[in-house]
Amino acid sequence: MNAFSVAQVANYSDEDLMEFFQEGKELAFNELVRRYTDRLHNFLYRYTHNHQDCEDLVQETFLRVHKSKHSYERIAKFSTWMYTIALNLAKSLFKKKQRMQKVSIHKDEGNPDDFEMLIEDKNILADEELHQKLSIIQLEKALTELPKEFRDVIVYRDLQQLSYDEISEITGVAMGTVKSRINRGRAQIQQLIKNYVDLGTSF
Amino acid sequence: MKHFFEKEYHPVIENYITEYVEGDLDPGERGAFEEVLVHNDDLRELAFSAKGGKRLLEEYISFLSANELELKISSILKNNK
Repeated sequence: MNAFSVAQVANYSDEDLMEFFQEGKELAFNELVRRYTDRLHNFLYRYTHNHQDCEDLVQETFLRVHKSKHSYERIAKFSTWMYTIALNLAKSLFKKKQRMQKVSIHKDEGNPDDFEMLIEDKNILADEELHQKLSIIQLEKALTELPKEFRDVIVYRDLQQLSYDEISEITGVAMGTVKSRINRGRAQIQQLIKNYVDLGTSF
Repeated sequence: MKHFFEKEYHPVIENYITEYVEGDLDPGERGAFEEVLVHNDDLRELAFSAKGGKRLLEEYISFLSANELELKISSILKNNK
């Protein structure tokens, strides 16, 4: 990798920028923030459905990227690494909200007949239901888009949890081909889901 | 140019991808395979994407009850497209 050039900052790949940032070039980090703020917001909105949560999570994600810059290794795409951080933060937020789901009504100490009550707050649950529904719809769409020879073996392996031997026997396809199809079917599912998110598709 | 999942590999490599994704490699084999992945972009993309796809499908089935899953499976397998 060449020496860092401020004039060239917009032309560097994400991974180059991350390496420059690891070497202490703060401008490289600023460029990553510029590139990803909106994309990260859109990505997180699919999970949270709440713009305020997204803003907080985007900020927190960049903070984590900044703090953990040395844990990034070039083996992974920068965007994948960062989206994983963002998703983990979104999941933590969801868990936190789940804990808040039950509102405690404290008992009146002066009243011996009173007791503490936990009341469910259904408004918070709605987001998770929506997330689940979206995930289910996206996965089903991806599965239907797979060529049949990939789709069937994926269903046998990942939904019905059959062994590779059983799948080879049921389909009459050689074990090596079964493995190859499952590897490619799974990879295509991941790519299709990634495309839906990148394209900002709404279902 | 071929897409990364259209490329064909030797059955031994294909087997390694499967075991890597399924988490069946011992730490030594896993480290050696990851070394190979570092130097081969298409193979890395295939292995990482397959791992991601497996995780997404695990999440998918965790959202469904046993009955729902059975209905979905039968509907997906009936689709001949």
